[in-house]
Amino acid sequence: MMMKMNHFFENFLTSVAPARKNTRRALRPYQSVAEMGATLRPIAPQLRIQFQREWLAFFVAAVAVLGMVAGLYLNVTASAAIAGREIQALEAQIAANQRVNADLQTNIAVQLSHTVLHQRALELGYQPVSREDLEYVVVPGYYPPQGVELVTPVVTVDPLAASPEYTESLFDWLARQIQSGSRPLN
Amino acid sequence: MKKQFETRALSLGILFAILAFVIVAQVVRIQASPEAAVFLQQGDRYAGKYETLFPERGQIYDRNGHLLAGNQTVYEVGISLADVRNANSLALALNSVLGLNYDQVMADLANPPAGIVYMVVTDFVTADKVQQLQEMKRAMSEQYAQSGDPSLAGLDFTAHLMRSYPEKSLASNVLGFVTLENRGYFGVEEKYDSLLSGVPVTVWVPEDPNRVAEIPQIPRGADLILTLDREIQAMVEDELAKGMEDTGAEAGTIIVMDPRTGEILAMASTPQMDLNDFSQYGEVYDNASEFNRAVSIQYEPGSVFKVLTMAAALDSGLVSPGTTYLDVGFYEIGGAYVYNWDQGAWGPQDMVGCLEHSLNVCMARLADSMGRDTFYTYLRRFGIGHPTGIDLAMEANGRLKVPGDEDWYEVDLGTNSFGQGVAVTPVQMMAAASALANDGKMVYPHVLYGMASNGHQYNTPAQTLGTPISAQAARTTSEMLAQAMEQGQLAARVEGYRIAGKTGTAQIPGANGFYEPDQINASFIGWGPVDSPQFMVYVWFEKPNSADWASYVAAPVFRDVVEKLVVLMDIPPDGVRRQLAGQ
Repeated sequence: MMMKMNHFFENFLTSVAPARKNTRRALRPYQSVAEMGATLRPIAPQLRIQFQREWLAFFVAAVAVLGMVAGLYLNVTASAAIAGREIQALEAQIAANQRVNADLQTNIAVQLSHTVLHQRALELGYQPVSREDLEYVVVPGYYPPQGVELVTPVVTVDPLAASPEYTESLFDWLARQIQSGSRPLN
Repeated sequence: MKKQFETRALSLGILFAILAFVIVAQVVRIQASPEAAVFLQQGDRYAGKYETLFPERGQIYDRNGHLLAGNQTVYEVGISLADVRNANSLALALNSVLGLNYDQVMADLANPPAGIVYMVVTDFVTADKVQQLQEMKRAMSEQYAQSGDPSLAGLDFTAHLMRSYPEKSLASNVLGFVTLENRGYFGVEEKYDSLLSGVPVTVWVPEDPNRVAEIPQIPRGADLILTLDREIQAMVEDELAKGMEDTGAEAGTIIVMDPRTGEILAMASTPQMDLNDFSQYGEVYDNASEFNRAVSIQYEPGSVFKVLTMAAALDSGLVSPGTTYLDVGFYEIGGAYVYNWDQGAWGPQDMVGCLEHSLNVCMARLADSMGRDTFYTYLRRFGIGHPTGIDLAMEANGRLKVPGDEDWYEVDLGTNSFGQGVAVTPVQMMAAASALANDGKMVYPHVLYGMASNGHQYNTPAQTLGTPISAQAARTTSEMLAQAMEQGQLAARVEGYRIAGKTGTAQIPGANGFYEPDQINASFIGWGPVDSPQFMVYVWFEKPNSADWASYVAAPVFRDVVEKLVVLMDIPPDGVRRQLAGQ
């Protein structure tokens, strides 16, 4: 595109001179241009180079901006993907932990089962207490346990109410970066 | 030359511009087309999968928090067909560790079903077996990394939970079991299956990590706390086993209940099974009703039923403890004669003597004097012939013939009064007798103490099933039974404790409808301490061969149970209790 425009400019400068010979009136508008062309002719190569440099700089800047945006998107996408994988891994870990907890509870219950405890007590020399061995005394303030309470208060987070991993849009991020960049150093 | 390139470049530029325009136009057209939804659906089909998540089955505890039913990790063993390097190694390993058929595994690997990439070989494999396989797989992978032969590549393990019973056969009649399909059968497992198993949730699990969302936390099934006391249950099972051995009975049942609340503290019947190996169910039981005889088998209870007849007679005002009659040894009713258990005549008797000597003639006279309407109204109030509603699977109704039924005859009024010709379950009999021990209020027998779900615990309140008799009649009957026991039932007495109780020896009807001459049901029901009942015990032995009377078969077992029960329940002897209460 830039080459094409230069070419046009060059042709224009070389073609305005013969036109001046036909009619003075017709050529009058071109006179100033021709004069300008005559003035510019010596510096034309310099102008062309300068023009090309501007376009080149504009092009490079555009590519850089596009690259930056693409990089940003790639970064955010990669972060989201990594977070997703981490979530998957954590969920698998939670499931595994739940299974381990269930196993441990059951194993403890097996170790503390009536048969095992009874056997262990006999091996240690204990024997079941009989009615005749008992002596009842009043213990002031003692109340026998009234049933078991399985539940302890826990705070549960409703997953639907939990905030998502990322809520920031690209523009939010840019604004944040600009803000942080323009923040005075202290 | 330069111009020529310009033309070409221009042409190419235009061509690419047109192509780009066409592509964009096509994208827009497809997006806006009616088929867009179908295409999106097709795309989503490969973007993830629907998974049904089954909550962990709730656990079951006894009243003191001892785990009776929990969960344990087991594994599904499968083969990823694309990863298999050596089918022979796989078949050999699966054969040696899991005992699978070598030829079958080889055949399955050689000709897998069309279209599958993963083949399930077996399921519910224990952790130790899987560990063996994993170690073999790792060892082969390291040792034969280069040649790849032998190799267990492709062998996969998927963990999941299954039911486990740490106490094995303890309380098996009450608990029931869970099959491989995660469905509860019998007992609590069946009755509360939906509560225990929770609600499965189907969720969409995307493959794309960008679309991963948190899998919703599925609440596990509700945990149940039972009224059972593990120590009492174990003691009762021990005594039942001893009783079975001593009496040579075909089957036995013992129940311990708190008559004030209806909480079942222990319930055992024979046979029992290790719930972890429920595959033996078919070998242990001939039919489903045998799983828990305490609720599923109805039988003619015999003389234990007399406590209800006497309570009805007292409550209706027909008699008082001191009312006397002359026992001549028989009583005619409905054209038939009723005789005492020994065919003897017991002479002048009061109502305490009537209970003490368990006189059928006395009971038939009482029922006849009350009249059929009054007598059967009382039996209905006591819940005879209706299930109690106990929260265990497969409760039998019992059977009470009443006037108007095709098979009811006048003589039934007499025989029903002493527990023949009427069928009850042990738990039905206990519910009825609870009115006598609980100031006339009949309690709802139950095994659920509480339920814990979503961070909350809900305890079951005691419920009454009705008030069939007055408090006064209930106390009087209890007192009469205690006196009768003190005077007659020495085998059931426990030193230091005043207990009300009654034996029951019942004949068993055969297939032809006539009573078998040599077979009996021996029962005993009792509660105590009489002035403040804290336990009620029911003992039933079917077809014992050691003796023909319940006073020799069931009464001693009742005594043994109560002797240990008062220790486990911290119930001091009556004298000590009153002394302590006064301090």
